[in-house]
Amino acid sequence: MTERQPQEIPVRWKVRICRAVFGDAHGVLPRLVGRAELRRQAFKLEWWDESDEQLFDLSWKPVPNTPMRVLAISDSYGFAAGFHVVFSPIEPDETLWVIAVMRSDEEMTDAMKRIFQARLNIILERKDISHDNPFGDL
Amino acid sequence: MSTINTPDQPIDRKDVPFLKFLISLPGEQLQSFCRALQECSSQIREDVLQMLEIADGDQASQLERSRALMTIADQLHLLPTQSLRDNEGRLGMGLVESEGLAAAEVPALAVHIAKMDSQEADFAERLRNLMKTKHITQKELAKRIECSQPAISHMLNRKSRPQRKTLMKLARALSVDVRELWPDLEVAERLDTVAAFQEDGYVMTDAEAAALKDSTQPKSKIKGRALPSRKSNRGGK
Repeated sequence: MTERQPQEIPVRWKVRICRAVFGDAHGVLPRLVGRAELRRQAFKLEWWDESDEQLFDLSWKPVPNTPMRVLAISDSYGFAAGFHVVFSPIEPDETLWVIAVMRSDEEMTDAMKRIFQARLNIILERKDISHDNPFGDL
Repeated sequence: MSTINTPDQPIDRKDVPFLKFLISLPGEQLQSFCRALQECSSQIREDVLQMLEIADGDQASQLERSRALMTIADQLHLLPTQSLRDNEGRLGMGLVESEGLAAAEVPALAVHIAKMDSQEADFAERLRNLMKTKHITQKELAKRIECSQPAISHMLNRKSRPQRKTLMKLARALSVDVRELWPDLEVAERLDTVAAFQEDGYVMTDAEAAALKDSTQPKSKIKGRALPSRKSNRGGK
């Protein structure tokens, strides 16, 4: 099937949120409406392309020495003048995991990087485990 | 690799946050925490200890601390799982599905999501009409606002919600007022400003302070009677 598709059709990523991100989002954006607006911007990650520094009207950059990338959203929703969405692609699933949400004025400290890497480790370890059948097919 | 400290072994400094955390837990929670820690992999266990070290660090910010604790809760399955798993039973939640699930739980959010949908549809229609009127192609518009042609195409097909700065750029490129593209923009900005005032430690800008002192409104013609001063009250006694 994939061989028949023309090459210019970009991959459409499945975007998933790591559970701890819900806590982050409540912390940086207490307003429910603000979180809904931010989520709409993050929807654009479905069309993320590693070879393009722009994602429609958003920009992203890699975090040096990590598999993580940061999507910059400049819209302000009341409490902060912009947000950063930290994400990482997991191949070969074509799944893109959102692992953190930060205010744009927050610094990505070494401690933050360790926290986000720990979140990524959870995903890498458990992504293939089925909730209904945790032992897999015998 | 995990190790078990026996009384004969000296306690490593890096284990101190972990021990302090264990002491702070009440009996039942301590049991479930220890069980979860025993059952997880050595990688996760190592990460849990790192997170405790961060959370306990003197220099950790409030955000780092809360993020580290939230991560531990996820590592050891201490977060409620039912609502965060989809039908496939996979970890986490799909971003698109999360919007629908949140809307199902909170009716006010469902109303806002419907509003966002209608705003995006209205914007796409207005942008399409303006481009037609001004004879501007998607490629030309993309060049003017320094973005890609697919970005314009996605906006026209309601697959991408524009940022405010993009709306401004589009308005400039099409030589129109931004409200011709997005009529709600001003209202949204005002609501956000009001919300910003409620933040602790918010410092007003000179322009905001001047706006509050706005003296353009005519003074009321109703004259009230001056309240008696304290002095006159005391004199009356």
